[in-house]
Amino acid sequence: MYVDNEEDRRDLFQEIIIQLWKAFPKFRGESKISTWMYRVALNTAISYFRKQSRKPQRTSLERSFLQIADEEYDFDYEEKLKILKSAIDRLTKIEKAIIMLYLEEKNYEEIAETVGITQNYVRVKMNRIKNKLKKTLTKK
Amino acid sequence: MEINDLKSLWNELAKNQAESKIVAADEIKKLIKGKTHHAIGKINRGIMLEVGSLLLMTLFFSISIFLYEHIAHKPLLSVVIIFCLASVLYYWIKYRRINQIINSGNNLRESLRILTKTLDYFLKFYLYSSLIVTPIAFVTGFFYGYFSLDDSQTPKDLSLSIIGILLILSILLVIVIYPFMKWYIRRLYGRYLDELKTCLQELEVDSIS
Repeated sequence: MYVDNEEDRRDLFQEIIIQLWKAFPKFRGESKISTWMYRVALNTAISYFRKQSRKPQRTSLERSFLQIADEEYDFDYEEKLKILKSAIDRLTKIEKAIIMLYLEEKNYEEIAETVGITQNYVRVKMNRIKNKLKKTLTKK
Repeated sequence: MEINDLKSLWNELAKNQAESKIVAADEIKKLIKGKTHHAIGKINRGIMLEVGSLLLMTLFFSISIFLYEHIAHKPLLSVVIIFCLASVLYYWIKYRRINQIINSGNNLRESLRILTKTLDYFLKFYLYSSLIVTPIAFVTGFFYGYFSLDDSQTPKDLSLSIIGILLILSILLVIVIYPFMKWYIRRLYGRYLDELKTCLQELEVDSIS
């Protein structure tokens, strides 16, 4: 969602593992471990410092994104994944974070807690995101 | 395609990817030992580099104190060494403070606030310290050279015109390096900081509305 190619994806995954490892001693159990993990992972993904010299390779992302579809030759699934990717690509980083949590079946309270905004504002953002996605999806 | 379809599609994708990307314990150990690309990690490496160079300079000047007999060397080099050690202390305090605020498991908004504030502060400090240190190094270098000359080559005292020229050259030096430093800092962190600020702004709208 936040990176364009396989190398960056590997780096970001590594980065999240490092940050989770460093952050774990500070975990005080005030929230669910899953909420805490999402917080650390999202913080890392949004503040990820991409190497300057690396240029985005959109084709490799698509290849990786559609890896499963390639194996099964499910063209319908492949097409749907393409639409999902292009719809998400049009969102801002914050909107991506919110929709990702929504897709992960998190309720508004958990989304608000992870992102640091009020539940009302989550609703506002969700409406905007849904409208944006609707526009992209209906075009397809 | 409806938005609810996205949810099932996402779940299917997540399930498939989770199954294909299970990481073994050994692999996690390797990942943890890897180099971080996080901005804070980059700042930390920058600080360590500065501290390393300052300690090397301190060592070099400490040895130089005993190598030269001239009366002006000792006070000049002592000032430089004290300056280097004070900078090392400052950087060490900053390093500790930066590392206390990261990985605290804060929410996204709070993390972005801390990160942008820290980066902003660090970049300003980096810019202004460079602008201050460069003319100081230039003037110190001049005095070092001036007092190193034999008596026959040295004017008896420092005239006001020499001090004036030094002052003008120092100001010119600052004027020349200012745009360069701005460009350098912007190249290193500028776009990244702008992106973070945009994200934060998007979240801060909540407290305004």
